Amino acid sequence: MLPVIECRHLTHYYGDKPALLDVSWLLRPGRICGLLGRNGAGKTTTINILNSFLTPRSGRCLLLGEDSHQLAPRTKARIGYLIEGHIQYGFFNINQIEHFYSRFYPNWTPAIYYHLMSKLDITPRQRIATMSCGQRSQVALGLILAQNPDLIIFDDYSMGLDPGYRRLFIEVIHDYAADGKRSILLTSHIIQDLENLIDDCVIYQQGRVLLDLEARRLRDGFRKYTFATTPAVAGARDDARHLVIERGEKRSALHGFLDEPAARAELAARGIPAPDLRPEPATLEDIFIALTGKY
Amino acid sequence: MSRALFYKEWIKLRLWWVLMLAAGVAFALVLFFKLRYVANANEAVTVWNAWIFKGWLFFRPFQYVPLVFGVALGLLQFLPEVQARRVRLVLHLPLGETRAIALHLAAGLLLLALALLPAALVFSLGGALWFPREWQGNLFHVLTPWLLAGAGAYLAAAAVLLETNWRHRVFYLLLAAGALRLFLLETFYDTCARILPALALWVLALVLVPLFSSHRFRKGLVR
Repeated sequence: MLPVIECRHLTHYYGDKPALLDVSWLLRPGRICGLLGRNGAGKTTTINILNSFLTPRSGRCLLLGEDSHQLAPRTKARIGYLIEGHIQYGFFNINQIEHFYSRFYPNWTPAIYYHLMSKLDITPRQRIATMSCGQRSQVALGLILAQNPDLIIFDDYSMGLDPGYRRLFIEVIHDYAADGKRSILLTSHIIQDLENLIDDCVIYQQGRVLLDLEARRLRDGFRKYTFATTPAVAGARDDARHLVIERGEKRSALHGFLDEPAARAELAARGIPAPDLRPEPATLEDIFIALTGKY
Repeated sequence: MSRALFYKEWIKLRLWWVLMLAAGVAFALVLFFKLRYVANANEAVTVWNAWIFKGWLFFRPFQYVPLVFGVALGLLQFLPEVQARRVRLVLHLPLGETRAIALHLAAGLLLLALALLPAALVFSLGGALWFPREWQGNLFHVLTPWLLAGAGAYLAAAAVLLETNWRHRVFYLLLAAGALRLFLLETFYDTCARILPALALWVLALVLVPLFSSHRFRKGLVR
């Protein structure tokens, strides 16, 4: 099946500073993909290229099989886009904005939108500008879902949301995508929210794809082992093998796609004694931090 | 879709538009009553003499109103669009980007025209009470450059706001200020009659500037 999103060898610079370097990945239909990375890793640059608000220096993006910079209106109608910060028109109230957007989308389903609005403590005539950040996020989400799009791009959906609204947002996305027919790309810095949501995971590091993997394989295969710190322990990082050794004050850690015997062998090969090596549970956020670092 | 975009612009601007309309009509009425006073206080022939030989136009104080309205409307319409780069919402709508921005400009120009038209009617109908029919032609020739200046100022304000490169913004400002000065030169009845088509063409050409700015925004040529 044709990928819903395909980034091919994207490269972009801001002045002399590289933002993306030969980035390639794809999103298959019916999948939820988390595009993760530290600040400045290139996520927003990618999103801007996908939405054709930025022309890459080289490479191209295909959305639903079309060049992202030359999308036909009917293709655009199949793509929902949540702008970072849940940007919408503040001068509308919830009825007016629904009336406005409904004219553009052939598959518009107002019931989805009004169902979400019914959960909010707002008056029908209240302007969006006077709503809380969480309420605005639900308005923006409801408008996107009412489009019935085949592909949704959520750019940093969690920005400014309290835990309740973040959870609500995730639950709504989860329910919406449950039929397996929608493809979703989302970025967020709240990695733990994505733990049980995403199917695929693309992690950026300094403008490059560090990891592109099914989230299940990442969770199941990427391990964390700790062992007592000795003078022989030195921090190390091997991006090609996704292997990280972190030196701690009392206990150090080895992260990587290694089972226990392989971990012992890796440490032995580096001359690090680890008689008390033990596996530790690792969340998606732990894995992300291990791979991308804290600094 | 076009109606939906016009609806959005109407909701956004309706309060300000009503205020502009009221201010324009009120100002026009003040000028009309002033004319009535002058006509009543003097002989009609004196008023005619001032009109024909001295170039006295009772509505001249209205000269800069279209310009001010144009700038104000451009700011009020496009400032909310560029704040937080909200214009991305419009550019993501399933219609051509150029068409989307062009429809915004059409909506703005329509509202500007509708805000100024009643004032022009007050001048036209009010003046007809004391002046002969030829006067209507003079009114048209004098008023049209001012109205075109309003449209030009509106388009320039839109272009400056949609543009995100400061050098381009300054260039547009200088270009607009220089060009619009021509529209507001001290005119005697038919001074601008011959160049009215050229002025209209100039304003028409100005439509391309905000479209160009939005295209540059769209292609990411803004940094």
